[in-house]
Amino acid sequence: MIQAWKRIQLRMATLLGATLALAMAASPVQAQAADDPALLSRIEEMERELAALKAQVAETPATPGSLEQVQSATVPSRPESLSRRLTLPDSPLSGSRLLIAGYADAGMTISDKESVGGINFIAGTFNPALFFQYGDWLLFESEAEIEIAETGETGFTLEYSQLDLLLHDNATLVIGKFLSPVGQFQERLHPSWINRLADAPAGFGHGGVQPGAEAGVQLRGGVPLGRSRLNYALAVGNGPRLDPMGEVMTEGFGRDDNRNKAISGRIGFLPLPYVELGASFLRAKVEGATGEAGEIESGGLAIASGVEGANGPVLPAVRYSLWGVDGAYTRGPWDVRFEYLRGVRNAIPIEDEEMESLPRLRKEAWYGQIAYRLSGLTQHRILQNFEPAIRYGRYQVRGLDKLAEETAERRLDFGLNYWFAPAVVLHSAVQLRKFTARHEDEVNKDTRLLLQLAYGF
Amino acid sequence: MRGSVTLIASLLLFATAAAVSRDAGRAAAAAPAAPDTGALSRGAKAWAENCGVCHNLRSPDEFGDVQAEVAVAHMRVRARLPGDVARDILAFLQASNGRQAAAIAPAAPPTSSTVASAGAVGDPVRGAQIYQETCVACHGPNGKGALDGVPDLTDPAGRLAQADEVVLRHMIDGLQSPGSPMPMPPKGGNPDLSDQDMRDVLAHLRKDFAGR
Ligand code: HEC
Ligand code: HEC
Repeated sequence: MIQAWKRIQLRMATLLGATLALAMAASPVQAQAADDPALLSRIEEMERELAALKAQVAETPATPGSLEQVQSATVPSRPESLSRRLTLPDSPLSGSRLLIAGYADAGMTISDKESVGGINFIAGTFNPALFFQYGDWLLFESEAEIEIAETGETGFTLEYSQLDLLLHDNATLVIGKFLSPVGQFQERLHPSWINRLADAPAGFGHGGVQPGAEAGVQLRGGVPLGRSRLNYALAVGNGPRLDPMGEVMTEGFGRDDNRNKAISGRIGFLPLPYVELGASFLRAKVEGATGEAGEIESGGLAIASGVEGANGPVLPAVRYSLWGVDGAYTRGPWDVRFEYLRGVRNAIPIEDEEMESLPRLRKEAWYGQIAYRLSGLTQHRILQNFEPAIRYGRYQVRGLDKLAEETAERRLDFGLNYWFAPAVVLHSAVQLRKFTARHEDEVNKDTRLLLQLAYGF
Repeated sequence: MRGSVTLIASLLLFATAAAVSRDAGRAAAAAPAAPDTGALSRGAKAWAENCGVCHNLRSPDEFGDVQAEVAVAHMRVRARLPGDVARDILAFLQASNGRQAAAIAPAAPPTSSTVASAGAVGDPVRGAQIYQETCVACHGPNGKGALDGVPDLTDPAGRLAQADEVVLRHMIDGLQSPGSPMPMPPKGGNPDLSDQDMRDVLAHLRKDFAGR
């Protein structure tokens, strides 16, 4: 059977080759070729051969099922042999398998307050990701975030770039820059084709309390516990830094600014496959240095680490500690989630006549969200692709007025999503924002309409 | 400082121990066998249970074998799945992406052309056996559906109310109605099954489930 099939393939290839050669030879001299008796008889012969082959193919039961049987009879390990076959043998990637993926989005916001923006198109983000796998034990993954800033510049961030060593069924060692394992939004939900609303909850995006990334090593994995499952992630890394205001930044810095490594992690418990409860923590120390107030761009407090101008005496390192809990219920058409995070940086004593000590900084954020796919109610071709979503959340900042005024807010979203495909979604949402730390005479409230088309590929 | 050095050291130590025990385990196991039906139906269930909790389930035929392998490795890390679960899921995805035929024999006629002649009758007893091996993980022992997103095949006004040709084509080629939280993989994800096998299962569905 195999032989028969191989023979057919071989003869088809020969035939195809011959036809091609013939076509190439004949094309410049078509006029003559048409009445060349030798050529005509050759073509006739080929036509006969083709008809015979067709008949033979029709007889061979060439359904995938039977081919599959043929194949598994010859090669013991199907997945491996298939991947080998599909990997280009002489490419520089030989031995490695490559996947290109990522996501992109674009959209617009319409605010009822001119001063907060009026109507804006958002160029959105383009996040290409590359994954290379070597054998079954090594994976390199990297994703960039390319964004058009409000000022028109293109921002480029390496979201993550990590080597994953799949050492054991229950443990993977990760080294490099990776998304923070703290909480659920950053690591699991932030790509726009996954997110149920057009933006991150207050306090969970850039500048929030949710840690963004970490550079270091991480051990993570899942362990079955009967019908339920436990998963864990424990990371050691360079940890957060202070910005010139005294705010704690957690973007995954390529170099440690102090000799204290940060430890962070999360433990998750799934009593049922569609229920997960998690608890996270981060412990680190941050230290700054005073500098000439004027030289530091923020113009505010002259405290920073690794910032030009901060060349004064190094201030004592203080503790930054964060903890949080999260939960998810994702049965059938439901997608219900909540998350709470609280980070506290201790007060920073400054012994300098011109500067005051920095008080304790507390950042606290939470949200709850419910989304429901109408496919749970109706089989209607169009209606079933809609998904109403609602989210309420709050971000509070105490101990740093400037940050509080910028970011502290209470936010309510009413969203309606339309799913074109499992990873193509149109988000629309009405968003009510109240900036809780702004004065009465400032714009401290607005209502926005957000539209976003997101595509995961 | 000392604390974190100890922590890093113990992480690495643990990782080395894990790697060594893995290699030892590997040596003990004989050459890897082709994925058995067990792996496929475990994989179908594990895929349905695990791969839709963060994002929507993406169609199993979205990726070829190689991309599926890399994506599953990525998701094993991201979703902290145990390795054996990830392997079952990969076996299922590679079996149900319908790419093998195309890769081996581009000239093979499309399967659905053979379906047009759905006249042939099926054997419900053989069909019941096949159902138990391949379909039960998702459709449940009584056909009412074992997982969310799987339709109730016993509903008199439901899927089996359609004509044989239609149902058969969906069973053979797979089906994802837009908006459905989960797709039906071609031949339930088991490419070893033939079109005749599908006719047998359909006979079983009609005889034992329809309208019960
Ligand atoms: C813990 C949450 C989570 C679970 C569970 C999960 N995914 Fe994902 N998946 C993600 C995230 C987050 C991304 C986006 C990755 C990125 O862009 O950085 C993603 C991306 C993908 C992609 C796009 C390609 C890629 O690798 O980025 C595919 C395909 C995919 N997932 C399939 C699966 C499959 C199959 C499973 C079941 C084994 C699964 N996912 C389980 C979170 C999850
Ligand atoms: C991975 C889970 C899974 C497996 C395994 C599975 N099915 Fe399905 N099946 C589904 C889902 C989900 C649907 C609904 C798909 C949709 O409408 O988008 C479905 C739909 C069906 C339908 C209705 C088709 C129609 O025309 O509406 C039939 C019949 C069916 N399956 C039979 C089978 C048989 C027979 C097997 C075993 C050979 C099997 N299924 C294996 C998940 C599965």
